[in-house]
Amino acid sequence: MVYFFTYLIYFYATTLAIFYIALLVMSYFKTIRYRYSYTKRDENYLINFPEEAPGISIVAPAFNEEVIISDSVNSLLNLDYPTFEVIIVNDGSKDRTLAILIEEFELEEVPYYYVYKVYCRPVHRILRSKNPAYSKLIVVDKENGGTKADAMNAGVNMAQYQYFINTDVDCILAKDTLSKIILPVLDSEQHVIAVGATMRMVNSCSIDKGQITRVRPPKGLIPLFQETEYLRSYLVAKMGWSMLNAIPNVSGGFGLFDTQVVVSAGGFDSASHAEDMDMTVRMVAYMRENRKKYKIAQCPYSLCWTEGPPNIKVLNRQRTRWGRGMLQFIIDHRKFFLNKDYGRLGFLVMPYIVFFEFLAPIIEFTGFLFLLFLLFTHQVNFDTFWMMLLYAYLIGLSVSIITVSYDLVLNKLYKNFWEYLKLVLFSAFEAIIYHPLVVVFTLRGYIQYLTKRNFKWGQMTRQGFSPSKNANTANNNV
Amino acid sequence: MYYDFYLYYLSYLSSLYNGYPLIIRMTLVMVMVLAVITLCGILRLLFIGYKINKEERRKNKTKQHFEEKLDFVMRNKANYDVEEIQALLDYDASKAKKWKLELVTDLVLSVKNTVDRVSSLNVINYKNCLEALGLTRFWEKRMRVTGIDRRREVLQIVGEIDNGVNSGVLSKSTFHKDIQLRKTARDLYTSQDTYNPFRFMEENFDEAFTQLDKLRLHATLIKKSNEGKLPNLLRWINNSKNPNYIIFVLREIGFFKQYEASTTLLTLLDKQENKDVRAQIVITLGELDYFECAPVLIERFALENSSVREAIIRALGNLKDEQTLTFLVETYQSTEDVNIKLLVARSIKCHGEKGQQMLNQLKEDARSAAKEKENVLLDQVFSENIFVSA
Repeated sequence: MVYFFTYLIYFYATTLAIFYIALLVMSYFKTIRYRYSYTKRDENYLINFPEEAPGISIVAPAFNEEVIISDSVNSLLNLDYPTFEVIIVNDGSKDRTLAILIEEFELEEVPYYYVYKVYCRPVHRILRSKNPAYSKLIVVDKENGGTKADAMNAGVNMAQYQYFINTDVDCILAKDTLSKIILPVLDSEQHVIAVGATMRMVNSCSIDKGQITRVRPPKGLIPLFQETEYLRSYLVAKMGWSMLNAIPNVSGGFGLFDTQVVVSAGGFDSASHAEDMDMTVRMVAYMRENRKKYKIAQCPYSLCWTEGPPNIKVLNRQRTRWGRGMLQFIIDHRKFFLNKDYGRLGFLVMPYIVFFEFLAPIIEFTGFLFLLFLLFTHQVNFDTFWMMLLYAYLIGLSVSIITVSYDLVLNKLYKNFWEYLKLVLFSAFEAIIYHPLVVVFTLRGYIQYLTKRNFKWGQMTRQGFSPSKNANTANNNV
Repeated sequence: MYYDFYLYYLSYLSSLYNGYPLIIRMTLVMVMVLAVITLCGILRLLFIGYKINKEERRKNKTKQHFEEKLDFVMRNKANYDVEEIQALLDYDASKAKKWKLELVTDLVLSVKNTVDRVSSLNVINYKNCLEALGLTRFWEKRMRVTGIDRRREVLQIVGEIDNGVNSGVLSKSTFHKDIQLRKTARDLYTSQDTYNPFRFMEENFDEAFTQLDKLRLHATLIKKSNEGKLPNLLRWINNSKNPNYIIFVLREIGFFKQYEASTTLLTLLDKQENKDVRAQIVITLGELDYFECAPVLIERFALENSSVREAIIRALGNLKDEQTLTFLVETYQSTEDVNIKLLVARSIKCHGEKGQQMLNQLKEDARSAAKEKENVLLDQVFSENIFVSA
């Protein structure tokens, strides 16, 4: 039994290492190819020839976001792209979110024949502005649905363009986001159903009028670790998977989706705790079931900055929710697992999610308990123990370092080179300080789901984007 | 050179683990591989950082030396000779290194674009600047580089420089097996060749034709139309079986208002089996204000599928006369499809004052029949005048 479990953990770690090395290689080639494929010239075409630029709807739900709503909407309205609309879904906010929107953007109720293409809680009214400066803004005022998915559906029903962006109001988008994210769609011979892009932490960045003026690595320890974790996830894992057209998840923080496919697949699932992964997989399943060819692309550039959990308490809430979502997702979509009718989804994406995302915290935690047992019963061979430990440690560290170098090659966002070294230095401690916390919180999420406890959406203290507003904080949904 | 040295330590290391099971020795190898990857990663990071800093310094230096002078020359109404510009720039192109010429090119293009945007560019001086800095020769030479991605980037820069291209050098890329390189080369050929620029347009452009190609070619056609009248684009459709390409050409016919194509387009409507192509023909006919097609479109409406029907409704919004307005009103009254109703109402609104009167009448009917939803729908169409849409 002891031998079996030791070998199980060993081969698990080795398979994971091989997977990551393969993803590193694939993402390298994919990133280099991507960098050469699209130039600033292509982006300028979209701006200079608006008649050829496909329209994009930006959908951002807001629930009790009075601290950041004004900056966030201004930031979205000032993106560099000729044809887009910003749909803010006020999900029954109890604070001044809607009042601020009405005052600042001179909104008025407009008659609108609202069609419920996908299910959502009732929509009270649609608001628009007579001021041409805010002509791109649409506010959907609806009854609170309790989840982001419900609010997203209300926005999707309103979206008039072929593609929409799923984002949050606490996210800041780069000015050239839309022209960068649409290029893989335009350049594909296959139907692109979704595009993801790199997200990073906004925590220590300087922001002026809703635009990032200076990118910095986060000062806080937790968001700093999360910055490296995000880069690894987007630049290595998702870029690598995109080479096989097998991206498991287009992030809920920022992603471009085909409106019609989302509607046909039934929209976002309000009952899901991982609505982004759930939506991505259902879109793929819809395309497979209808024998349509599809592609999910990944843009390596950093296009979205989001506020990361500033402390362990908030990280706990976030990861517990993700854990619940993961378990729920696997149970809900178990029929895809190793199902030949779903091709890559059944034989690559689902096994990867089950074995390397869902089981990872369980194996790591039981492995740790097992190690304690071996230490207690004096069964540890210290001649090889340190080597095994170093092996597990180096898997994570090497991937992190290479990820940071990929990021630097793509675009030097931090002004100072030492800031990149800071990321590398702290990634050396990630396995010791940050990762054990993530494992415990994720397991807590699994237990919560299994014990069917009442779930509350995590509260997160908003810092606000404008320095003047930093003093005023409010409790809002994560 | 240090082969024995390394072999000695490798043997020593393996002797340490000689009695251990295979798995331990395998792990040792993996640890060593990962340690090398980690070390190489750190070194690579430092090297990239050094390279970026060096490039930034060079960029700033080049900018300081050239920017103001280039701006002065390209803005100036008086024409300068190549020698005069060389003297002014204080620069010897023959001794310049590759990186320098790349940086200078970026700067020249940035100054050119700025001058073009804010005032009028002196094209003669711009071309003489290229000559004085030796950029045309440099990029022509670079077009022969073997790396596919790099060559593609070079072709894009040559296109941006917009100073003609040697078709002989380019031909190597116009028939390359790499799709992206081939398409970039063909686009560049169309944009820069003076003898037979539309050669590839007549030959279906490329079998792999994406929306991005449409965008790039649209930009090229606008450039060409500024230089002189474009040929009748309809002739490019005859040789093509690619619906994407046909749709692109049809859109361009509408954009460039090639009215002479209208009659042929109407006959094409019967021949085309692809619904997307038929929908685009209808939209183009509407854009070309070809009133004669209205009875045909009205007749086809009941037989067509939904995408062509929507196109017909949109086109009839452009073709403003009594007959089309009556048809639109009848369609509005007869359909139960909300989406079609909305489209028809918008097309009726396009008919100016008469359309407005009709919408008022429809609204009155809806009110008297207590059709609440229809009332909201028409209110929405009315309000689209007041609230500017995206």
